[in-house]
Amino acid sequence: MKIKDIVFLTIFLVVAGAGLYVVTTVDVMKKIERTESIMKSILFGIKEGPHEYFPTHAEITEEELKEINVTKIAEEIGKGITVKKKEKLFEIEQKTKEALNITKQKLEEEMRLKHTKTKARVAKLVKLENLPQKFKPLKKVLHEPFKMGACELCHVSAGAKPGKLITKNIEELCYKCHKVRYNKKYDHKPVKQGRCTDCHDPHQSNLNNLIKGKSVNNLCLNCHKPGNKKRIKKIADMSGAYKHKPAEKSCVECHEAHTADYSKLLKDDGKMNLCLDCHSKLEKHVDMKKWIENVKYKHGAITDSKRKCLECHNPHSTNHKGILKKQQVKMCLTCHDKEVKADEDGYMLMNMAKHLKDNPNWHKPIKDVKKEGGCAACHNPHGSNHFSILRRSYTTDFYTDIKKKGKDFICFKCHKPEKFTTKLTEKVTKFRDGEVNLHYLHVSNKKGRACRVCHDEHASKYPHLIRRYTEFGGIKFPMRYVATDTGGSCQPACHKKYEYDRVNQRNKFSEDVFKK
Amino acid sequence: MKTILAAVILSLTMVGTLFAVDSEIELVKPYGQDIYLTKYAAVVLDLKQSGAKRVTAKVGDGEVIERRIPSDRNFFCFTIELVEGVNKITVTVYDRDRELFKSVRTVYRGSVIDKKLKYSTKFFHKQFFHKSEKEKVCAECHDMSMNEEKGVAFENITESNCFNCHYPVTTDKYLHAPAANWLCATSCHTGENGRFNRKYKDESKYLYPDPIAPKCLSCHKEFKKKFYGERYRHEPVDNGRCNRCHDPHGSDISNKFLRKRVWDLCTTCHVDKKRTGHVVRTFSGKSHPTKGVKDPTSKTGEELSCISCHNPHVSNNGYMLRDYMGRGTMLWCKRCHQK
Repeated sequence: MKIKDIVFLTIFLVVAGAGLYVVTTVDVMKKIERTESIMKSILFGIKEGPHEYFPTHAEITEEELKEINVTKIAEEIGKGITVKKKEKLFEIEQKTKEALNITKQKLEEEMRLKHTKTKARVAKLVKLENLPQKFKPLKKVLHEPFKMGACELCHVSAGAKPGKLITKNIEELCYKCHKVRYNKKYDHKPVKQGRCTDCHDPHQSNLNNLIKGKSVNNLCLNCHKPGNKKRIKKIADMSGAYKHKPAEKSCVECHEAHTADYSKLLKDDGKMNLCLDCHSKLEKHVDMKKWIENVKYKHGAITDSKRKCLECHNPHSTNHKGILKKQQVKMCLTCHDKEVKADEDGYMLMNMAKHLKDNPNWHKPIKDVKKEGGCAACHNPHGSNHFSILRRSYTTDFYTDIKKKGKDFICFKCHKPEKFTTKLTEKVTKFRDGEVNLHYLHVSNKKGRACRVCHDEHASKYPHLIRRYTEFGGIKFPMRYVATDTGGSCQPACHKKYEYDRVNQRNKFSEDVFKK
Repeated sequence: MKTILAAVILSLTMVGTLFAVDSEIELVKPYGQDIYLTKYAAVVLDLKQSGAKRVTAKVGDGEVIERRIPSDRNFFCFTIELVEGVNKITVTVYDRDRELFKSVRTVYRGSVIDKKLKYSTKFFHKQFFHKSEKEKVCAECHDMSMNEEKGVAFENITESNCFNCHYPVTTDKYLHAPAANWLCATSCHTGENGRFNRKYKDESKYLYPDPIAPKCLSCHKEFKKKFYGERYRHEPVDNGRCNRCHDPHGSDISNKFLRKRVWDLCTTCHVDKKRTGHVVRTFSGKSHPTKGVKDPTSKTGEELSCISCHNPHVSNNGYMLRDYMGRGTMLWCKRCHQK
């Protein structure tokens, strides 16, 4: 034996083993059967071609008619049927009897009128196999009368136009059996006008409740999509990139199909209660109901507005994150384009739209909404336990001890705290004179200044979001900030004009600078 | 002929002088016999188109200040520095070398803290300028209205109407923010009067209330609680006269805007502490130092002064001692004398 042969042998063994394993695990016969059935159905389709309408050719004599015992048939069909269904079947049976009587009377009338064709056609129950080709192959869900072959319930089987409906009023036909008349405050227009068959197929369907179309949403959007042919004004746009999950699943998660006590055919008050029904139970989300109720500082858009949740959110779909109606910052500015009274203390909030318009340098979250999150990066639009509905704490004071209080400031969500804690640096901050970290000097000691003293959190005319005015003791003092390529200068009320330069140090610092 | 000519010229000059009475140069400010509390005084001349070229001013026996007068000026103003006490100001106006006008006025510069200088003789009395009648003189060149917006400082301080005349006020090293930003009339010089200067009511548009404390405490809120919560108060604090020790405009000496260095400031009133030994005295005559040594409690290594041991404002301890350490003064000494 050579080594070559041994290698070949092992490879052969491995391949053979794999083959055997595949044969044992996969049932070949089942697969063959499946392909056979599929092929058969395809061939059937090709052979039969598109179905045509065939009128029922049920030739039956009056004697035969008498022999038919409807109840017997019903019993045959309904072996092992529940009590409820039996009742239903009994009802249908009664109806068919009546219907048969009617047709009989009609026949007699026509006979009297000596109509030629009438003789041939006489009513009877049609077996499923004998149904016209139009209804084949049968779909998943069948209308009960259709299943029983009680076509006579709705259709005329005799007369000049066999297959014609008994009455033109569909509503009347349906309500014969479906006696629950919907009488709540708001009606769906097709329900109001008695157009049941607009949505329901009277014979059979692949969907529950005999619904027409591919899916519920498909059916609804036929009429309710934007730019529909019927010019229906109540539209639901589902084409956006961000979709509400229940809306994507099915419209009837939130809407009633027929009639409801709340406008827009909603199951509950659609402004807030309906939303909170789900949004207090979702696993990965915050319990919004509790949050809104218990939070210390509330957002007026939720508590005081007319449309509550729908003030900002679209319940169906939009192209903006969080299914917001507009881009997030623009959304906020729809209200904050004027001075708005704050819920917290009745103080007037600034006109943010004007502030942003006047000051071209914006804070990054506002500038880059998609990446940084817009206003919601710092503010929680659903309310918060920190003032100004900020997501974390912040201060309104001039002086703040950054080591104790300032630790959980919202600013440090993005900005590194090293900026303010390192004494000598060449990298961490640009606000330095030579190597001396001027941020440290301003911020760290008992009388450390809060961030907002020098910086405007939203927008500013000056670079680095430096404020125009800093407020101290109720007086607005201009910062008089001037930026240069490698530094700048500042002359607020706090000190005289000081210059700083990252390359050539401007000021002389004594050794005790960091001790204070 | 010569005599006739001379007579004609003489008579002409006589007539000329008669008419010239109306166009004589006038010294508008200082008024004379008035009291100043600040270092600087303004000299205002009404030239009445006399064609004067230069002006000199002399305070007492000090240096002569000379200023050139630009042509086509009806009025000319400049500032002089006063010394404490009586000042004899001599103002002379020249047309090239010829003396056109000379006037001597005496004013008094008082001091807020020094008791010697606090009260002048009856010869001097306080005179106010900022009244609508008196302001008319300056209104020709200066905008005499108040152009401050309450609560908003000037982006450019030269915009302030006060700045033009009062600019020397803010030449110090350390400046108080409202003064440095020229928020004069909206923060302190509101025209109100207080308990101590009720007699000057409605004398000036820009009077400040004396005691000034309510104005100070409206910004320095942290002192409001502190000052009236503790047991003992320093007399100026009790009276609400913050401006006795602090210069509300600014100071060259300390960043607390003190009028003098701490030891000097305290001893202007507490004169006895200058001469006698403080606290205890040994048999050799040596006593506890009050200056000239390093302060052991100071972290930054400042010089020992009165405020190393005493709180200049308020205290819960006797002798206005600083933070309380326990019962008895002896324990308190442990602050420095630990062994």
